[in-house]
Amino acid sequence: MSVVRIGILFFAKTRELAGISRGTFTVNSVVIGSDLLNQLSQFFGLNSVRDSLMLALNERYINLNEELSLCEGDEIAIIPPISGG
Amino acid sequence: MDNLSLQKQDIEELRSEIAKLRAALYTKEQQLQDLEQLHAQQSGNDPDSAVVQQEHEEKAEVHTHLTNDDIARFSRQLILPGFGVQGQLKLKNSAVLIVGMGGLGCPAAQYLAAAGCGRLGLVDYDIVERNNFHRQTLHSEKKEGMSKVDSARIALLELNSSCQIKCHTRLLNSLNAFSVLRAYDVILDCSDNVPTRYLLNDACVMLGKPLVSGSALKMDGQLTVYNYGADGPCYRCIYPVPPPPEAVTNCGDGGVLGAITGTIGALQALEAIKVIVGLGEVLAGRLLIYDGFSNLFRNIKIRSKRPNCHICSAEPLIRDLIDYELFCGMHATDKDNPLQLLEPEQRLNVFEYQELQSAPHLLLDVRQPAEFEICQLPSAVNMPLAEILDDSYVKRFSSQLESKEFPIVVLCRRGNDSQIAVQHMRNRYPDHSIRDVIGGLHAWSNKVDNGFPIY
Ligand SMILES: [Zn+2]
Repeated sequence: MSVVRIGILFFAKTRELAGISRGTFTVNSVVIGSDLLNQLSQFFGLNSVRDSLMLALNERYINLNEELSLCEGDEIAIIPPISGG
Repeated sequence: MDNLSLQKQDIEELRSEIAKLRAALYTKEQQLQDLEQLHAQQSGNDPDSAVVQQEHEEKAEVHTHLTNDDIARFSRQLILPGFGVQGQLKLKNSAVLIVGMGGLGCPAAQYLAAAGCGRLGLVDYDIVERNNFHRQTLHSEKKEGMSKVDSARIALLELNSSCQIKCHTRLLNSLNAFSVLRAYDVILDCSDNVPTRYLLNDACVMLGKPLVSGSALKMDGQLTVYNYGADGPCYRCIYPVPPPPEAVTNCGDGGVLGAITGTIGALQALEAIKVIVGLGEVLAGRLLIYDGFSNLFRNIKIRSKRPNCHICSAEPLIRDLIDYELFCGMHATDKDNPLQLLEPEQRLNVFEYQELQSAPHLLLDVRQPAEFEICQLPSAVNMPLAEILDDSYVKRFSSQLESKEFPIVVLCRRGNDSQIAVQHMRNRYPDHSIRDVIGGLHAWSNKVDNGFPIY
């Protein structure tokens, strides 16, 4: 199985927790959504908000049950809900 | 103290006393409203359904033409392709409910009233405070202490006197949500807390109403339209599980820039107008993410309805409104809930700390540097909570930590973070004299030094 390097975008709370607004991550090119979320939460320190995060791959929502085929340079956005107003 | 400054102090004290009395009055009024409503529901005589009835009768009186004043007033939008006379008439015959008259609700209401929306409903239980002015642009200085919906109504009628505005001065809950929402075509979620977001979502799904949802915090914003169109998801489809309370930041703690809430609120008005008029592509099935730091807008294609969604699927598990504060483990306001983590002997009140001030001690202020810069007590050392929790304090204060007797006092804005810090430090140093200040700097300002700024 090949390994790819993908770009990660952080929004709102996850930007604070990760301490960066964008980063890169190396992962197996074929991965289940929830597995990717676990790895990202672990690596970037997002465990406290893991269950309420939404992931998007190249600006498309990821269903956590789905198997993803990632390519080099793909972009994952990590989006927590915001509730303020 | 001279006579003038004594007078000034009296004025300040009276002002704050009046504001507190007003707040207490509003709370009582709301309790009364809710009790009356419960009573009426249980005795089968719901006053709000009478109101709904009346509003439906008003609705029967459909506007079929524009007046000369309408034409002159709305000429710049009447000539827009796709909007036109028919669009203006749809707006004139529409009813929009705005939940939350804060940073999002003010600009949203302002653009809807100005654009000629016929009927607006405003929901908020809160009163106008000075820290609202920087972003809640319908509330002006003279209205401090007034209920937010009354204040907003006055400002909106100045913009457009023919807009019919109904005030709902109450906290929305499972008991009153249906009767409040029922009379409106589109609902705007301009609220500031998680339980209200789930409540509005579930009520809108059950009533089949589109929900224009906006939110903002710090420099970030989000916007989407839920429950719109055959495939349009609801809030629960996207966020089935509420975030843990400790991961939720409100504007009072995290801060927010008025231009951010203004941007999102104005866009909520735009989406409401598009839904009503049938103009353009409504932002359903897409989530707009706004990053004000780099001024980037991103459109994320979100999922369609979740087949097993607890509320909007064909076989919903939730068939009636639930207790949303219980479900989320949070209160339906953005006000702070005081934590109770420490034992009484691990805490000092502000007077006890005042006595300790002249003796040798270490005062750790665990607020963010930006907050520390606003105001601080003499000799306080800024050590943000994160640096307590990652143990960087251990090295930095090694000499003070050598003795178990040396008093270490931890301080924050309201006495919550300071408890978290003390708890963490006491795990490592159980027998040291490490205590926090009850009520933090707010208590200091209220009880010891009225001249100390509150933010
Ligand atoms: Zn749903």
